[in-house]
Amino acid sequence: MAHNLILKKLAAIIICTATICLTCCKAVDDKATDIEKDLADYTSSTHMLDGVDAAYDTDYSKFTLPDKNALHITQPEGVYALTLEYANKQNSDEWKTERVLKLQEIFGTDYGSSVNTSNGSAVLGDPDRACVGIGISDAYAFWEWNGETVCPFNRSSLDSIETLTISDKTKKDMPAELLDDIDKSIKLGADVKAAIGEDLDAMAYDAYIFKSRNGTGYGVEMQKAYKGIGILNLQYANMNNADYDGDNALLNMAMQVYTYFDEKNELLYYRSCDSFKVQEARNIESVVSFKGACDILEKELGDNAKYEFDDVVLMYEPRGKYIGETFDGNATVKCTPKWYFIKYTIDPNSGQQHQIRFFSVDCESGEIEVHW
Amino acid sequence: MTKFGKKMTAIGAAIMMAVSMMSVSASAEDSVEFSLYISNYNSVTAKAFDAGGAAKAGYVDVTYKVTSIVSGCNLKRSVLIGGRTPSNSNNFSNPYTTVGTRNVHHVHSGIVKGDRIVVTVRLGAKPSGIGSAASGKAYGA
Repeated sequence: MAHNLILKKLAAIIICTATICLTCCKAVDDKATDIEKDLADYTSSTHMLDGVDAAYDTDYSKFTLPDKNALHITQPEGVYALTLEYANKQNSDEWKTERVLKLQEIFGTDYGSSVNTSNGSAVLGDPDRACVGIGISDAYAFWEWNGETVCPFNRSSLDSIETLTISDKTKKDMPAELLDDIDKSIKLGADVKAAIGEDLDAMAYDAYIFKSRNGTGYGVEMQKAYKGIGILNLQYANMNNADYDGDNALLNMAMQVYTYFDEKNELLYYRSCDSFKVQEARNIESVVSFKGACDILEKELGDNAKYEFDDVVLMYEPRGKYIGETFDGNATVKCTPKWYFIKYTIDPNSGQQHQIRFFSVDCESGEIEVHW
Repeated sequence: MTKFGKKMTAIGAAIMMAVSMMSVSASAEDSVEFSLYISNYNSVTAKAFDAGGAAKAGYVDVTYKVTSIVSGCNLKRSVLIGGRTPSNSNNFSNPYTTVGTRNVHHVHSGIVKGDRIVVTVRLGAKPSGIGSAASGKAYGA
């Protein structure tokens, strides 16, 4: 009897010791990211969207998810900690010249073959009227506006601008011309990528409907993307903790690609940000899933929180240094994958671009950032 | 006026009209207002907005109009054009402490006609914090 009691005590001691050891190990892991990781929130990138339906079946008390058809989510090919470098690191005129001639073919212009590189860009045509060009590695093309067509970049000529996100939900009600322009923009983005020889794609994100006395024109806002995940290009509505200054600036404003079409559905303006090569893509094997991100928010938000989101998007947050008056070819852009739980706002006087209020959840660390 | 003179005047007026219509211009109509403040209940201490589009390649002129500012506060500004930091972008140094209109010429060889002019304004609060405020508008072309 006494022997049994000793054995039971020993077993209890062993279980307690094992529990303490395991707890300590977890504590060491947690310390690495300063956040208590719940492994249930993590999965492989292949399965990160598996729990979308389960998340929609969960009764979250602190927030309301958007209509499922409004989500901007597609299955990514992988999730990475990305380091980008400029496609034309040397700022070479030969590089630009070779590519601007290819761009001329893509945009169907005929400005001859004499490329002007005198102002740091490679330009065919007149840069103050109508041309095709490349800055350092940023492609652009625009056509002359004769005052008789819709001109989206002359804001005072417009009567109204409507801004739409591009999702399964909104596409149902979009005019056929706009749907056509979205397809054209995606194709242009792919053609420009091939001509430049960069590693990033262009994905359509937002659309605009411009109305003026001359008719209705359209615009498409695109995101640079890597293997199915877009790079943040939206303005913050709340800049209190954000910065466009220094070596670790938020580079969302240096990641914009957009097209404008006139009332005849002719391309009027194509503007891309710089082009990039992937210097390093560290595969993140264990990532926060969609459901995991929702669960983290539910755990971490205050008890009285009650938020309504318009969208949930997986995007890379780009950070680095804005190009100033001199170009540093060794500069890189660090991209961190995050889930963004978004409320869209529009500043009516600010070109009608979407601005965002959001909570983000870092796909690797699970850390939350608030810009509400 | 002779018939020829009248014709020339009419042609001249038509050309002027066409030129003014073709230019990508920003005016006070396009200006974006901002209001920064710190109160007991809320605070908005920084704002970024699209203040127009470049009318020409290579440079942009931006008007910063401070319409009110509480004593002891200041207003810092920064500007990006087409995702580039141009000359005189300021980067939040040399803040404005008084009301008034400032016109700033920004140059960068990478500015493309039509490029978005993104202005960021930031409130420098007075020591007590609460009650700090500044407002105004900005526009560029």
